[in-house]
Amino acid sequence: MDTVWGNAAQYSEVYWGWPIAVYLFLAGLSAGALMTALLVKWIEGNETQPWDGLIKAGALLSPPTIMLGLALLIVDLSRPTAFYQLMIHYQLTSVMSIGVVLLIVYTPLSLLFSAGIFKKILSSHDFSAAWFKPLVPFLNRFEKIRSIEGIMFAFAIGIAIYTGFLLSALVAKPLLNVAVLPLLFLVSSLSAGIAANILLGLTVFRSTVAKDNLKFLLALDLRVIPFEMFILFLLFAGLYFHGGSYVAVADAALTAGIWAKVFWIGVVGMGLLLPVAIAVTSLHGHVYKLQTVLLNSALALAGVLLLRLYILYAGQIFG
Amino acid sequence: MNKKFTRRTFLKWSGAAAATIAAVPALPKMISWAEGASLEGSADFVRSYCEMCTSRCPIQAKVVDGKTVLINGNPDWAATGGTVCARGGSGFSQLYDPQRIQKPMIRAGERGEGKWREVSWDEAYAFIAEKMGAIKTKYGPEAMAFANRGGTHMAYMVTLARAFGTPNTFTHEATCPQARTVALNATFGTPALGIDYGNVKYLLSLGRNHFEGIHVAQARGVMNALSKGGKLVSVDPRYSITSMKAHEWYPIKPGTDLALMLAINHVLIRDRLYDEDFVARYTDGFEVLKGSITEYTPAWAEKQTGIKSTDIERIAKELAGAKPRAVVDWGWRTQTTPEEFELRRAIVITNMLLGNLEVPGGTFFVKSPAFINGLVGKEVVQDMKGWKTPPFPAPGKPRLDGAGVKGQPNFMVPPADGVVQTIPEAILTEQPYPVKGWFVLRYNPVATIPHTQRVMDAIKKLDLLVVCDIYMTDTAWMADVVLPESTYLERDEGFNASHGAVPGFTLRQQVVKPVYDTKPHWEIFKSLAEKMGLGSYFPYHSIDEIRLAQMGGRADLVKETKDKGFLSFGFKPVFLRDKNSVAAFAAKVPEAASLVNEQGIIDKPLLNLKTASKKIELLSSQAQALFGRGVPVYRPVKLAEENQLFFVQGKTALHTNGHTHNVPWLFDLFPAARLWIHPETAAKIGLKDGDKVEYESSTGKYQAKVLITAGVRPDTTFAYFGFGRTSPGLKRAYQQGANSNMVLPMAVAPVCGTTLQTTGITIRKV
Amino acid sequence: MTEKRYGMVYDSNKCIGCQSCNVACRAENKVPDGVSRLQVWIEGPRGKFPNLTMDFHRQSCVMCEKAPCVPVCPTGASYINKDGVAMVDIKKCVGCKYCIVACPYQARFVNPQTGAADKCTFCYESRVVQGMKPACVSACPTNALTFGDLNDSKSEVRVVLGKQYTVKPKEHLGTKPKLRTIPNWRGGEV
Repeated sequence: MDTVWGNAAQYSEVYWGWPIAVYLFLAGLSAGALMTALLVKWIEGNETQPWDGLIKAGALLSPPTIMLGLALLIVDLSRPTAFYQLMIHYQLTSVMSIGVVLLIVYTPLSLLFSAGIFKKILSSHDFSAAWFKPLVPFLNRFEKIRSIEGIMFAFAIGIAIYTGFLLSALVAKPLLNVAVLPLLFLVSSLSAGIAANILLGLTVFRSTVAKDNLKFLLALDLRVIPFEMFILFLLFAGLYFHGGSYVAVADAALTAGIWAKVFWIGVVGMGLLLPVAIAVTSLHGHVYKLQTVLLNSALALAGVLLLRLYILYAGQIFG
Repeated sequence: MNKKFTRRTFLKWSGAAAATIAAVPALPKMISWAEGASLEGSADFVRSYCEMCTSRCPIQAKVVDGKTVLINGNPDWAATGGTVCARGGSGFSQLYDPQRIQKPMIRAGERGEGKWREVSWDEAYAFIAEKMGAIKTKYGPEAMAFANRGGTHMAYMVTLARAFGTPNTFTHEATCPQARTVALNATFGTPALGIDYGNVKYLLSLGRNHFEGIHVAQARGVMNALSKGGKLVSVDPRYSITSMKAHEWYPIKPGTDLALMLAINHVLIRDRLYDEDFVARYTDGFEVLKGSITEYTPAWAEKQTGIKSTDIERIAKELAGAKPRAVVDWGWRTQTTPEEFELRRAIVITNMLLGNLEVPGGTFFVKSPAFINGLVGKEVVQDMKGWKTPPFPAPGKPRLDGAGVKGQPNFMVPPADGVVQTIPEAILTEQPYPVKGWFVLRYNPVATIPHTQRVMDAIKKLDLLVVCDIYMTDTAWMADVVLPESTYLERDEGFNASHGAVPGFTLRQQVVKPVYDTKPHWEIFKSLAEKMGLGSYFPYHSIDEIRLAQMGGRADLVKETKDKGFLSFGFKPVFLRDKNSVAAFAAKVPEAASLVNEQGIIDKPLLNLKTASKKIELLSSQAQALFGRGVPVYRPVKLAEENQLFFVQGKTALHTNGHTHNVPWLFDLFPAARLWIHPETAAKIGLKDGDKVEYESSTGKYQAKVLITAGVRPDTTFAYFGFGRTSPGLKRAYQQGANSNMVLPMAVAPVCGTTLQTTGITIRKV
Repeated sequence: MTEKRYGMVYDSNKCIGCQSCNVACRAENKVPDGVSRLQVWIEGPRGKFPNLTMDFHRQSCVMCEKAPCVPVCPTGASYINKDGVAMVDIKKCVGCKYCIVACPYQARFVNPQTGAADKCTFCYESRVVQGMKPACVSACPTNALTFGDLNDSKSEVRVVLGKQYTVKPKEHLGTKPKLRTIPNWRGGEV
């Protein structure tokens, strides 16, 4: 038959496009960077100033990434001027609404963490002293809250995990509606945070990066990445075990068109295998070559971004 | 990632994925719900009837919030049940379309160049009057031809033509159902017959596409019949929606339908399955018919049609088993071969062999007021009246097509309709005399007459082409003067005869004031006539006056029609050979009681037909005497050469002939028809779905995309009709989809004068 | 007034794909050009020539009782009203499109004029509360659509459900659609 029913573009449109994927990446990156900074900070000897470059990197990354992500999120709304409705009405059945709650707490927390790390420099520098100094007493009180860092870490985990639940709640999308997705997003967030903190730490705060801390993160990453691969394996194995149309979805997602290429070359090859290979071949021993470490981190970071893009697009397309 | 990492890049990538992802949809055009639109009109439902096709279904419409017009079916009209089709529902989008003709215009550049000068109505009238006067002086009044699609506007056009002195008035019928009209006329002395679809038990359709060539009441009727367990058999070279809904589909070889019907008649007569009593009492010429069909065996027909002889035998027997509630549809758009008169006659004859006339679920004479009043010999039902006008001047010359003219090949064609495709021929050849002016009213010959190039060449030779329409149609694009008519939602009209198994009138009423500088046809013709000094033929002053005159001064009937949208007279469907129906009829019209015979039926009209024998003529004495075609005889026709594919067309539910393709909503639903081609054939030519091809016949060529589908015979191609428009003024529909008439040849079928809509084409990829 | 549970039956055998419903919906609900609340898709022909068939599908909201579009909405703009009709409160809608990607039936879209999520409402506000049938039901030339209150055993829709075999689209998702389809009598519907 000829098509006699009109425009059908609305039925195949990918409604959540790259801004959402980039938001998912940035939110995960922010949470991962904060988690990584906190992990380094919790290593004996790192609890007090002078801060290690890797902590500073996390503190510098976490607030702007989450805020940029939020900006993208709002711009992507088809009624951006109505975004305040998200703050007036809450639906606790909605992962997105829960996300709003998490973000409302997490975003200021990440700012406060950052302000705490950079307290000294902000109070002393001309450009910031004037407006920052009055805030210092408040900041000090905040820092004295018991287990505040634990709370921050918990919220960072919440942010990373909720982005996974956001997608896994889509019952009609086999590739997304999987139990391991939140875990996958959490793990890849951490991986992204590690990579980003190393990248920024070694470029901007190189002089203050302690080698042991770097080694700790690289070793952590070497555990996180294989775990990520294992979760991805579980995800697809689950689809194949489910049978029926889910198999077709898994087949399509792994073999069809550009997204299969993004998955195999980008996510698996560039983002997972290559960093592991580099780590195993070049990063053993105690002599790290700067360029190799940077390359390793950049690849891992790109891999996480591509993972978000792949999951979001393939998840919607092969539904 | 570089900065070209945009959404578009992504979508381009994803386009390679297995699932199709359309790009971000184009920005909506928003023509339909324009901001700030303001429409003046009735906020309450006004009853009227539709004009998105010519079925004229009753509707109701109202202006909503001064911005839009909402159209529903008239809920009180039983035949449609208050429903309306997609075209009918889209009337608003046509009303508000900025691509409508908004003002009268006179050509300012070369013909067809698209340069126009907007003028006042008065200037347009003066221009036309002067040009027509010049043609009359130089060539005589018969050098003006008038053509329209048919409808209530026709009377006004014909009045002007007759007053001017030309006999040459035409409708589009020769490009549509004229073979049926002429065949019915030859058999019954009248073409006014209908089919009671809702009650048929067995319906055989040869290309009558009830579910795409939608006439709402008929589509509903057929679906009702199917719901009640009726059987539908579809014979069509392509798999239409009607074929899909049918119980059986036979993809017949194009051009061989007549062989199938002759074989069915053969079986009915051979096995004495026909209604012997009916045939004996009401028909004439059976013995000749019987003698004529001996060689048309199912085995013979199988060779012609490709339909198995066992299937033909079975269909004939099933028809006979279901009689008299068995019908072979006599079709609508009837130009499959030059032997169309024979085919339609053969179908009519089958129906009469089944004895289905004047019974529920069969065929019936239209119960117009004239029929009922004539039957009882007294005006018991109000009929439509005219007004007194001066006598028309006698035309100096006969019609150019010879319709109704003694001794002419088109003698049997009703002169009210004529053979419209002869106009371009007469213009080009100046035979039988020069034709220099053409007045085209709500009709689009450039799109709907075959051999488009010849029609265009003819128009280029004219001194005057006037087109009155609502859109810049393909014909209007080539005109000297364009007169914008108001759309049906913007105009009042006189009464419309809408008779079926019961008598009834419908009325068109204004729902919204004209959006642009447009006028109704009755005002246009009156003003134009006055400009030409012929005002006395149009003695009315207002629509109220017209309506009152038509109802013989009965203001109460006019009011009733305005309120209800139609005038019915409280009849139940009248079937004169059905006892129950006749009893109800006699109760309603006491004057009819004396006509009821001992069997409880009224068969007087069946024995007093306007045929030579006064009976149903299985042997048409007229066609026999004039053309030796008294009973249908098979003459093989060659429609395609060996190396060619047949090209056939059909209707879609989304468009009407040549005039809705630019209506925004309908264009959005179905913008471009593709050329259907069978997978085997496509493989031979090396075509993929969606490939662009050039298709060429001996007449012309055109380009379109192909649709590869098993829904068409391997030796046949198909396209929905009316696409591939030639007018750049139709900004949406221009050159969209497969054009048909570019490749169809000019033809005049014997006896019935119809065009030909099947030809042979070759296809090559471009 | 007792609460209703509005439902619809789509008879794919009576449907002729004429798009009368599509247009009636557009006119009644002022659906902008380029998007649709309701289309009828004709799939096919499938089979081997000449033994073919086509499948007719109504593409619109199926009015799930357990609608995936409702719980995902972060503001409550997407809700099921007291009569069982899934609705969108435009004022609350921020246009996050979560409901659109959550819907298994591709029934939702962004209305380009309001920016809000849009969908079939069974013409609840403009017609049904006034005792009329949805525009598509009233317009259908071949009576392929039956509408009514599923709580009322005498309603037209219940009568049809009592007589005809119907299927619920994507039933395995547990969405419990209130729009049911009478499938192709020739079978093998895709």
